[in-house]
Amino acid sequence: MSEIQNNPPLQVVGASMSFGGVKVLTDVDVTIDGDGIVALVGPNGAGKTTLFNVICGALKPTHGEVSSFGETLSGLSAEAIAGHGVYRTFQDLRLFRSLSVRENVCVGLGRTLRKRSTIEKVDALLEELDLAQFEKVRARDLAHGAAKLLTVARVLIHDPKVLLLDEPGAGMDIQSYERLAAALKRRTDLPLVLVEHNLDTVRDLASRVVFLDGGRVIADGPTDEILSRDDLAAVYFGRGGGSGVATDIAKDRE
Amino acid sequence: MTLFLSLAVGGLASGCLYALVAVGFSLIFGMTRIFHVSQGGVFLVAGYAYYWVSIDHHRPIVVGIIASIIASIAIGLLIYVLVYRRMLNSNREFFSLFIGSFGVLVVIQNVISMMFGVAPVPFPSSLLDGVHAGGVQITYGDMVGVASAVVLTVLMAWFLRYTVAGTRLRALSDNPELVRDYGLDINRYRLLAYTLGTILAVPGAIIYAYTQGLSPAAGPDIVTIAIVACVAGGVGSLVGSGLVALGYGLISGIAVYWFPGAWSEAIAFVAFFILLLVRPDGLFESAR
Amino acid sequence: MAYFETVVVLGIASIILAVSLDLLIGVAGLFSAAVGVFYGVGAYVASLIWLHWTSDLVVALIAAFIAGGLLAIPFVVPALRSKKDVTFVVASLAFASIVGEVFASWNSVTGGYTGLYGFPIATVFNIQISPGLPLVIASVILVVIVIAGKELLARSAWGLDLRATRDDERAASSLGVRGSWLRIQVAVVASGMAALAGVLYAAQVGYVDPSSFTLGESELIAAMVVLGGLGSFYGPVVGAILLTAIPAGLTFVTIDPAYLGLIEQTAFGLIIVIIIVVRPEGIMGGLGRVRARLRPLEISRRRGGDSV
Repeated sequence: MSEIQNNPPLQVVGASMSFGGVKVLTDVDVTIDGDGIVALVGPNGAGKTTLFNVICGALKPTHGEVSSFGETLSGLSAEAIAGHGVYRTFQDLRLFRSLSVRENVCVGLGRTLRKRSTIEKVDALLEELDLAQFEKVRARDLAHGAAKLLTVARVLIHDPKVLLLDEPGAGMDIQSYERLAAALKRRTDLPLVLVEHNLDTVRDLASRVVFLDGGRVIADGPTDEILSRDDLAAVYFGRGGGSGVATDIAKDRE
Repeated sequence: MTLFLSLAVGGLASGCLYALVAVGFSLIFGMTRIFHVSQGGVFLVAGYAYYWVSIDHHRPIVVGIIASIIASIAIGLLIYVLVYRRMLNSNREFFSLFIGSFGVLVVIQNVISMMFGVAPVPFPSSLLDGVHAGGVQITYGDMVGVASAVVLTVLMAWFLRYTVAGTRLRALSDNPELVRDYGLDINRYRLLAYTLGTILAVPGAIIYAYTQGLSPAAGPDIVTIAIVACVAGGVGSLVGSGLVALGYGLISGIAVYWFPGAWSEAIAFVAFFILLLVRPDGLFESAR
Repeated sequence: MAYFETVVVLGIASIILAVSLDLLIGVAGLFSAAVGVFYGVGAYVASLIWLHWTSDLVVALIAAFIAGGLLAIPFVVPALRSKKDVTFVVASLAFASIVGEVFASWNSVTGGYTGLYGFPIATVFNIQISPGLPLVIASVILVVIVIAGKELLARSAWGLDLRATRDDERAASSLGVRGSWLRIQVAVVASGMAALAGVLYAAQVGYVDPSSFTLGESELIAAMVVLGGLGSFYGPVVGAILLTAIPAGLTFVTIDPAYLGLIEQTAFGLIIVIIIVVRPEGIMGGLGRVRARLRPLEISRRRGGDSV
């Protein structure tokens, strides 16, 4: 477990969630302290996206608490959680398909939309993520890489205090990925959590890995250490039956 | 009290007619995603075809019923081929289908008005007689309405549960991709559901014509009740929409006991808004 | 000449209604079949104010806007509890039925089927705005304000958040957009706008009765918007002008008046069907965004003149 810290950027305590009797999250504790990028890793169905949904108010956990900088997020609506500075992206993009790239970035800016400083900020962000050339293109007409970058631009514009990215690198071309990686690495003071399947991406970006399996946290530690463990690799690549190994490891940890 | 019971019986009986149309509408919407507002037009065609054959031209009732079935299937298919098929193939959303269907309803209603006039057409009052059971009045129209609703409901339930085609139809409403994966022609099943839903308008239209009078305005009126029932019952739930349509009939029937007759429909619709507040996705909320 | 001015004022009323419906459909993605009802609310409110209180036109407009907006609340709040777009449509139809019965049956206030009549000519600063040129001028001013207001709203941050909510409500809420609240607001504003058109109707026609504010009226307005092209600047305006001018022209053709209305309605219905099946973007082409919404799978079939 990570050390006790007062009011960490994001803290999940004892989160459990079940759908119709099936437990998808069991007693998950995760604290994001803001030192480097954290990757949530685990086989399909491990509960990574569910955890995002619980944090961001899209799902109400059966048990557990989520807080950010000491403020309770549990029970708040998705928009209120965004109001606390906790933003997320979606695996399936969920862009505003009929809006232009620039309009996508401007959603939710409210009254500041017409301010000069905001306009400059949008310009700079579009430039940074290589989207300026597509400014007027409708989101539905974007190539996949640019569309992924747009999902990130859309949240970065809000100066998030905590950012959750759901598979930001998946299916991206190399150029787009490098843009993305550079943008994320540059923001060293932004507490960042990724869900990621590609372990190369994890090695590249994350300094800490939280390993989920069967809805439980079964390992949590520095990236190199976690990714070099054979037992976890077995779980991840499904050798020897994931859940059996998972429970063994869970027992070991207790 | 006997007045109240008479009103309740009458309300339930008209509720049965509404339920037939509503279940037909739900069947079509649930299984094809067509928001078939022009079901109200089909209802009119069914009613007026019967009127033209059996009342205007004095043919036997059976001939009128057959003519009504043929006419409604014909108009239903015509709408499908001219309007829906193209939109379904290009995967247009609910909204477009609704607007198109709405236009069709308007056309049918006005063309019928030109042919038969805006006023109600004369029907014999034979079904308005009835029996008095302990002071409670039950008309023959009530009996026929309830009986045909029961028979058709049982038939529908049997079809959906115990026949191959029916089972596949239910699968289609749950998961269209699955049906396609099994190599079944999705359009054929869509069309089957559509035709079944269309036929369900026929008995309702004929009995309604006898008991409440048939005028072109009945088309939008009836279909409004049907779509309200479809949504309030829970989209995709045939039982739900049937029950809500029954409830609509009952509420608007007994509302007359306390309020002036002109308010009865408004009161039933207010009940719908209250239901929405309590259960936003309808009585039998679907998982989807 | 008087006939021409009547057509102009009622045509302008139609433009306002079409613009109001386009705010709902084109910007917020909400289809309402109750626009005709709010048109009626405005007409009744204006008539009641002129009958019982003051003949001031501006007072009537403000009161109609507020009344239309407030009356939208009991309709949209329950309707928007569900996230399904079907529910909103159906609720609007049910609501139209309820209010239609209130118009027809609340005799002591609305005059029932007889309606309200005999109210004074509207005034502004004691100047009479009589039907004819003065009312035409007042209508033109009003419609300019309404169109400008709608465009300002549609292009504001508020309008952007609404369009985002229309495209993907969940993604919008994850960015802090309060979609439900925005939708209630847009429905209130659009209903208030529709009520403004009713004031023009009452001022021009001189009496109001339930027969003018039926589902048929809502259908006509929908036809205008669909014909012109959803979500485009000129679309609703052009649609409204065409569908006012065509029947107005028809009155010079000798058709049995008993059939005239029916033929008109049939034509409107046909226009809706043909346009939505063959050319969903309307005759004005529409902005790509809404066409995209109506025709999701035909991205590649873009035509010329589509610069946004």
